[in-house]
Amino acid sequence: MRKLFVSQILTLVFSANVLAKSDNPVIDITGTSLTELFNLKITSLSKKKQALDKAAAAVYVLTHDEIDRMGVTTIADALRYIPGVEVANIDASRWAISIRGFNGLAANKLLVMIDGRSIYSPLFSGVIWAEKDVVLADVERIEVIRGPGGAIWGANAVNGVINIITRKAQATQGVLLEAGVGLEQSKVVNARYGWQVAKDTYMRVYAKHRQHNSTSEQFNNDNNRHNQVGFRVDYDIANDNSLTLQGDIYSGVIGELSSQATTDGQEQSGGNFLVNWRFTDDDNRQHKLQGYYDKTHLIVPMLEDEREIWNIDYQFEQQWQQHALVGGVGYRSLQDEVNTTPFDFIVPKVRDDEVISAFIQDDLALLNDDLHLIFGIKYEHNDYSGDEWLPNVRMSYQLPKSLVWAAWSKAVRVPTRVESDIRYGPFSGERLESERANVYELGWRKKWLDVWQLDATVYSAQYENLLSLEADGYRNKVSGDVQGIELSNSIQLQPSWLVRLNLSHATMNLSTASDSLSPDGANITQGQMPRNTAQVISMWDINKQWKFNSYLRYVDELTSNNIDSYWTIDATLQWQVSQRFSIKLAARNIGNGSHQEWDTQVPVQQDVMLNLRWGI
Amino acid sequence: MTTTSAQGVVYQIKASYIYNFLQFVRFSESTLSGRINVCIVGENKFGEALDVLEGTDTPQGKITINVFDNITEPMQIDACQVLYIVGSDIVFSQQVLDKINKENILSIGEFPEFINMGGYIELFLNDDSIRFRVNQKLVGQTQFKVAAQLLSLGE
Repeated sequence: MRKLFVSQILTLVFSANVLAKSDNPVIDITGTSLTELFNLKITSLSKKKQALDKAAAAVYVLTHDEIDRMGVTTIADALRYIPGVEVANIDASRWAISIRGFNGLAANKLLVMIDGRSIYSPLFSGVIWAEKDVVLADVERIEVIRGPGGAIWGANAVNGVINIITRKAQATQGVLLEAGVGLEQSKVVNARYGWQVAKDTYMRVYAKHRQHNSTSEQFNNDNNRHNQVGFRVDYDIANDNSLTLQGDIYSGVIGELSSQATTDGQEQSGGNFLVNWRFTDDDNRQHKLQGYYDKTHLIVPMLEDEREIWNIDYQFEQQWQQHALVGGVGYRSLQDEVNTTPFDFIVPKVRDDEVISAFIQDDLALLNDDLHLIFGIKYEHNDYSGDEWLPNVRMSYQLPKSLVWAAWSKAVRVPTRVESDIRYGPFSGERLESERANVYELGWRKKWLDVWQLDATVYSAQYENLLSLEADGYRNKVSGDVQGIELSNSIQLQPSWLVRLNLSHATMNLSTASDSLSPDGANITQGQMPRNTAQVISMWDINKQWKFNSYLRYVDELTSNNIDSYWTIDATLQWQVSQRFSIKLAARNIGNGSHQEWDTQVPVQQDVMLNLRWGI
Repeated sequence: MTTTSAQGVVYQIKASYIYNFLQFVRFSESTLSGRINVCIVGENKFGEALDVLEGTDTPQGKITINVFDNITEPMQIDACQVLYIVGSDIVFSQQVLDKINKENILSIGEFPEFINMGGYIELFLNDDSIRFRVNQKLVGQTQFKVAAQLLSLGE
């Protein structure tokens, strides 16, 4: 009878008895007053939060409320507020986003998904953040795992996994109309309409338009425009049996393709369609079947890529005595055509690839549920690197007042289409192999007086076979390690004032094999990871109608890029004028003049934006 | 360790609201029989929270819960003092509301149009908490009396 709320990403890390038949009372129904009821927070009382508290991984969830407060207009902006995620604005349309190092335009060690559909590009790796968009008001949450997610998510989830989860159609009913104007993000318009199609069937459709100005007169080919429409249908077939269909179509440009400016123009368009069916059978086994089709078209100077992906995944979850078992199989088919001009440097032009995978994970609960041992392994076969095995072992132990967890994982990063198929004179990518990582993590989580929660993680990642540039092509002659510590504090200073303090410190040491011709590559990557970062996020409910949120961040220097360390502030003031109408004023990158984050030629401009929203 | 889903928590909070509302509402004596009949119509998402409510005291009697999938005959809910309509199905809720005398029965719903349709209290989600609002048009127009403190707490 209960609708089970299991999110995909959390199945990696929690084993909470998801099949419990009854809900334990978490509040005193007859002993809680009205004013107390007003202030109860659902997520902190529910399984999801309790599961997060026991997760044997460095997990963080950015809630709908936090996304709303920050007045962000793109996914990349929202990711800044997540501890441990390195976000650098390369120019007005491009971002370098990674976790635990190896950042860059084509940051390739992070798996990113929207509702379980990968938005990581197999062409060049990384995510084209300018083209992947959602209506942020309809995002339920963004889940982030720092560290390898290989055992469930497979290759390329080397340093982390991000899943952007949109709300069910039932939760986005009625009209939503949002318009924002700003100095830099010049226009954002979101329109959504949700309605009930039939008994137990709800639907929404939306349209989004965004425009961003270029950085400056000198650096001026990085402005962008993006248009997107989409829908979602949720059908509750029966209890514990539901079907979701969703799809989007988009198109956008960055600058002008033919411009001779220093920064390239770009055109991108695409569409996708996803079906997701979840049900629980009579033996209490949960099944999930998901299939999607994703088509993308990318044009940059000298390269045009047309790509289609068909993906189907099946996953089951089952409780057997103290074992919580999760397993699944998957199949992916990719077809592409890559045209390069004026000469063919990607060979073959047309390629069909397949990926098949299977995984299984067992979460064993011992010592009266205080100790959890998790064993998982994924097998993947792909057309670039052949067979890959990705094991991981995790454990968590509940001490009287805190939780300790530890993990060991192996992860791989498979060569991309461009890396593997590049042929230019003697330079070839055919000898490129997968990059490998061996990661150890240790974590500690504690809550004091229900007011202060601390999440600490220490990690050591050993990398080998990292990509290197040699005379005869791409090879794997770089290796090294990254060590770091991540601290995340959440402090409820008052019932209406929450402060987060996030700190990270990391060191990266890479070296190249003695017969390598490019030791510089390793040094460059090393100097692109900031040693220290800090974030202070304050969320204050002034009263029932006014909210003030501010965010101070500090990022250490990027020695390779000659980028100085910087600190800067974002702030938003929100006025809930009436039940349906709100006004938000957001200022970004203020407080210390303009600064550079990735490219010394590109100052990140201060921005002020006014946002009006009508609807729920 | 068993833990509670988000929906479980939501309905425990709503059950607590029902209990609390009843501390502030007086029904006319002629309709009572020593019990306050709370009728839940629609899919029962409350689960065991209703067992907790059953038999608890209010100033005018003990709470008795009745659950109905649907109301086909007005008679079924004649004896209810409180009617809680579960879900956000507009058509279904309108059908149920049409069958009751909204001035005699405290009606509670959980979707945005409920008050426009003549319901008395709407429970809604705001930033991860459950709040309520009261139908201003019905205030003072009903047979049952609602204490001012309750009215002032609604949004």
